[in-house]
Amino acid sequence: MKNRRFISRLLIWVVILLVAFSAMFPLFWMVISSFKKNADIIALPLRFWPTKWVLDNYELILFSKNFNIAYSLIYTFILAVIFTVMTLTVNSTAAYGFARLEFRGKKFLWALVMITMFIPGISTLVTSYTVVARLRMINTIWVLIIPGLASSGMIFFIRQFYLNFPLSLEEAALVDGSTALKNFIYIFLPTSGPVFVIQGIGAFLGFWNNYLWPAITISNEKLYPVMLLLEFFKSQRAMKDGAVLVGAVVTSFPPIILFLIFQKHIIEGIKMSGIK
Amino acid sequence: MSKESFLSQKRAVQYTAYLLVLPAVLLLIIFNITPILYTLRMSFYEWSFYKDITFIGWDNYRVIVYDKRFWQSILVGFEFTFWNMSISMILAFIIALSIRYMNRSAASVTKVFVYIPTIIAGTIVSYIFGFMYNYRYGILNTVIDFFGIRPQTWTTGPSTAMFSIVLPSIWQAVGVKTLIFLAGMNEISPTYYEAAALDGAGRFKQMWYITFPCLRNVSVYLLVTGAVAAMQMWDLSNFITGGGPQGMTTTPVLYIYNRFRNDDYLGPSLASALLLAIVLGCISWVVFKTVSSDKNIDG
Repeated sequence: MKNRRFISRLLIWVVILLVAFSAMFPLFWMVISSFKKNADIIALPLRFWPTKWVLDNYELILFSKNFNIAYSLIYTFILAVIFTVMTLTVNSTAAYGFARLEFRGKKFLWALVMITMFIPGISTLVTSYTVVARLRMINTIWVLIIPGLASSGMIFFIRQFYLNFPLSLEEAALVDGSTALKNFIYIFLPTSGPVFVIQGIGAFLGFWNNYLWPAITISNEKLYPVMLLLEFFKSQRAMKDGAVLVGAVVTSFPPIILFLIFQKHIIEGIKMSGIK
Repeated sequence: MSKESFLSQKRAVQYTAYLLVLPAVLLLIIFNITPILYTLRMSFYEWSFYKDITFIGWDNYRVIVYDKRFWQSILVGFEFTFWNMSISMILAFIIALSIRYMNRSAASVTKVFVYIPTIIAGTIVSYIFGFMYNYRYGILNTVIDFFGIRPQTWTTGPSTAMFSIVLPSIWQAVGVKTLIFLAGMNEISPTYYEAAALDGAGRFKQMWYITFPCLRNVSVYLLVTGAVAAMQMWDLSNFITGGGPQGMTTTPVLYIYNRFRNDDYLGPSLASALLLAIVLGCISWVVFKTVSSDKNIDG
C-alpha cells in the first residue's frame, strides 16, 4: 500500500515537471537566445547557454532609429486599453438591455445579434475591407478599434451573467424611484468585476495578438501595431535572428504579465464559460 | 405609484433600452451583417478592384468546386484537425486528472504553466518554433542528433511538415482544454466515487464507469469548439511552412487567404469562404445547442 502511494506521488511529480518543461521550454529558449551574441545563435555545434550575456539586440530593437519597437509597444498598449474599455462598455450595456429590460423588437434584435455569432471571420474578410474602405477608415487607428468593438460572443457571455441576478433588488430600487440606467450603474456594474476581468483580458489579448486584420487595413508603417511590426522585421533581410528574438520577447511580455496578475480570475473564469 | 407615472416610467425604460442596446446592434449590422450579405451577393459576380462588376451566376463556385487545391485544403484541414484534436484532448485529460490528485499549491502552479502558451500570439509561436526547427542551428536537430537520428528538414520535408504545424498547435491548445476538463471533473459528485469504492471498484473502473460518462457533455463541447477552431487555423501554416510542400499544409483558410492575396478576381475567394462558412456554421450551431441545453449529464 505504501509503495503504491509512493508511485502515484512520483507519477504526479513527473506530470508536473513534464507540463512545466514543455509549456515553458519554447519561451525559455526564446529568452536565453535573445541574450546571445548573433554569432552564438548560429554557432555550430549549438551552444545552449550564451558564451557571454549581451544586450546588443535589446539596444537595437528598443533604442535604434531603424528598427524601433518601443514606440509601437506603447502605442499598441494604449490602443488596446482604449479598445478594451470601449468594447466592455458597448457590450455590457447591450447585455444588460437584453437581459433585464423589455422593449419592442427585442426578439428580432436578439436574433440579429445571435446570427453574427455563427459567421466565421474569414467569410467576411474581403467584404469587411470594402466596408471600412467606404467609410474611409483605411490607414487610420479607427480601423483597428471600431469594427471589432461589438462582439456577440461577449454580449452573450455577460447577458448569461446578468440573467442569473435576483429580481427583487432591482424591483425595489425601481419602486424607490430609480431608473433602468441607474440600476445598471449602481446595481449591476459593481458586481460585474469578475466577468469584466475575463472578457476584458480576452479583448486585450485579441487586440494585442491580432495580425490578419491590421495586415490588410494598415499599410502606413507608422501605424503598425506590434504584431505587424514584428512580421515586418522578420521580412527584412538586414534583420538578424537575434533582433527578431528580442522583438518576440518584448511583444509577448505584456500579455504574460497581464495573465500573471489576473491568473486567478482567468482560471476561475473558465468554469463560467457556460458548459454543463 | 399612480397608473400614469407607471406608464411614463415604462416608456422611459423603452428609451433607455434602445439607448443601451442600439450602439452594439448598429456596430454589428455595419461591420458583421453588411459584409456577410455583401459576400453572398458578390460571390455571384466577377469582381476585381480595377474593373466594373459583372453578374456571372454560379461561375465562382464552379471555379472552386473544380479546383483540386480547394479539396486538398479541405483534406489538409481535416488531417490537421484530427491530429490536433486527438492528441490535445488526450493530453488535456491526463493533465486534468493528475491535477485532481495534487495538493493545492502544486495544482495552481500547474494550471498557470499549462495556460501560459495559450496567451502567446500565433505569429510569435510560429517564430519560436520556426527557430527551433532550423535545419542548421535549430535545437530540435541538435537533440535528435544526440539520439543518433539524422537532422530533418522539419518545415519543408513532406513527411515532417504536418508534424511541424501540429506540434505548436497542440502546445497552444492543451491549456484551455485542461482547465475545462478539470471544471467538468470537479462538478462530478464525490458520492458516486464513494459508492463505487464501497462496491469494490478500483481506480480504473471508477474512471471508466463514472468519470468518462459524466464528462460526455464537456467532451462534446470541447470536441466541437476545438474542431471549429482547428479547421480555421491558418497562421501556423502561413508562417512556419508557408503552406508547403506542394500545398500539403495549406489549410482551408490559408487557401482562401492566398486566393484573396494573389487572384485578380475576388469572386472565387468569396465563394470558397462561403462554402467553408456553411460547414463551420453547422458545427458551431451544434455547439450552441449543447451549450444552451440544460440537459443534465446522465450520471
